Amino acid sequence: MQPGSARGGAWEDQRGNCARVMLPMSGDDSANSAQGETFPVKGRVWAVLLLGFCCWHSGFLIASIVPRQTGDGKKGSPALNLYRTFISGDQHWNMFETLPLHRSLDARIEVDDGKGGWATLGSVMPGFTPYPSPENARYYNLFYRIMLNAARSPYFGAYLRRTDGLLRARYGSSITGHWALVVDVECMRPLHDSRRDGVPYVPATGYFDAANPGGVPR
Amino acid sequence: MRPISEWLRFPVRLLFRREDERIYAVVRIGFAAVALLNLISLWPDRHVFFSDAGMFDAEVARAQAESVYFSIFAFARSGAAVTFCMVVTALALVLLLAGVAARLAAFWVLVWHLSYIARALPATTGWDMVLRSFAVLVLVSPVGKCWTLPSLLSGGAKILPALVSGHGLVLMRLQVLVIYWQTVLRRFAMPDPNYWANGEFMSYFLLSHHARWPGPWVLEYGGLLTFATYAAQAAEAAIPVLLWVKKTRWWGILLGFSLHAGISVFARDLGLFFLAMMMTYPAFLRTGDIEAVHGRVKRLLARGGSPDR
Repeated sequence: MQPGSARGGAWEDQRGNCARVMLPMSGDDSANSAQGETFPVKGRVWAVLLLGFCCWHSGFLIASIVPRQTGDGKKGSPALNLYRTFISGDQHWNMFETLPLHRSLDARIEVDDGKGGWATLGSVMPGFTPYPSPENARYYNLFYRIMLNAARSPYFGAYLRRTDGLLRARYGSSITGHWALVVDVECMRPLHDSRRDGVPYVPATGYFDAANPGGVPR
Repeated sequence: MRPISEWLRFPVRLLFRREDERIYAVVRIGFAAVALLNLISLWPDRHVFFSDAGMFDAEVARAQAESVYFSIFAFARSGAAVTFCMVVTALALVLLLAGVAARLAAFWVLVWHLSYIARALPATTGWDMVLRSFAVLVLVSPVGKCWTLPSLLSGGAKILPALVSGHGLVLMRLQVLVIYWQTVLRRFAMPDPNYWANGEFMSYFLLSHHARWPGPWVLEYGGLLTFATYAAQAAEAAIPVLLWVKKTRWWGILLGFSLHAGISVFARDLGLFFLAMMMTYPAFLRTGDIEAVHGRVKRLLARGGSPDR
């Protein structure tokens, strides 16, 4: 027996007597409004438009089953891009396609205090608040996408430049070149290596500043 | 030659077949509830993600748009303005939940989803995209009167539900099909090392940042996790088909629930993804299902409340 299966006999009995039936292609405006429908189609023109939209969107969705290549510089037709922006969305479904090969991400800003030590600030703006711990999916996505992704995002350069500006406002212009965004992660090792010695992770640290969004060697 | 009405008959029959309006009501309520939970989860970080003082440069966000940059946060740039937009959105979601001015509320909810995704694209997640896709489909679907606050206040339990056009449900079902099947197909084209193809995905996933209990214990269950990798892909391919076929839809719901609940248990912080996917499943209900579920619950309650038990 199917889970939750049951007969809809009562409903079938009621259907014959149902008084509130909408016929979307009937064009019978008086019938629709008289029966209290809130459906927006109130005439043949609207019904044909709705049919056209539904047919187009159905076709678009079916065509979207096969993944399209993105990020290759091809912009596509402007009308289709507008449709994607406002109606369909990008239809780029890559659930768990990319596998972040690390864990325990932490990001902070270290500022040279001029006395041989480093002061630490949080990496989250506004207010240089700390990177959340335990972190949530959005913060992780944010930092992973703008920092650790191979093709670093223009967001990252803008973030570093703004951080520099805010630090200059706080510590003076000499701070430029004397601070770094420090990112600690534990990178995953290949599974066969991990299985051999039981060590799944290797720690790694990256240093970035406004002049070196690709990383500062230390 | 056939008249045009003949040619139109097939799509009309397919798209405008009459369905119980309460199915739309379940989808609307589920969508609004999950979108509201999502909004609540975003609330503490609203200035970080959406204001000009936050993490994302507004000009970069504009430049990253594929064609047009559309976001209310192009105008609502300060912390206070962002807060105001979110309060308005919360109100719209409550109205949608209650079925009051539902079309207008659904329109604003779509604007909200377009806006925050465009403004903070790097911080978006899979469930944002599911909600965004359904925001359009809820907007173009019949609203109906059943299971709305006004009908409840006017003794709505006695109102006979209407049969309305099923076009919204067809589009929702297609959307769910695209989500699952494109996900599966995309993995075939992944460059090496393709962890989905070689069966190592689950091992890496359970060691990664996403895992609730990452640690060396994962390394001991390689065979089982290889099986789980392939089983998850088979489930993703099967779920939309099972959901769509009338006889197997309950099995589809059970399989989908198990898959997404499993992800939520073993992954950290993906509860909203589970809810967003579950919110899409009522679109596969059929006319008569609401009665059937209602009857079953009533029988269960009656049995549980009987004195001989």
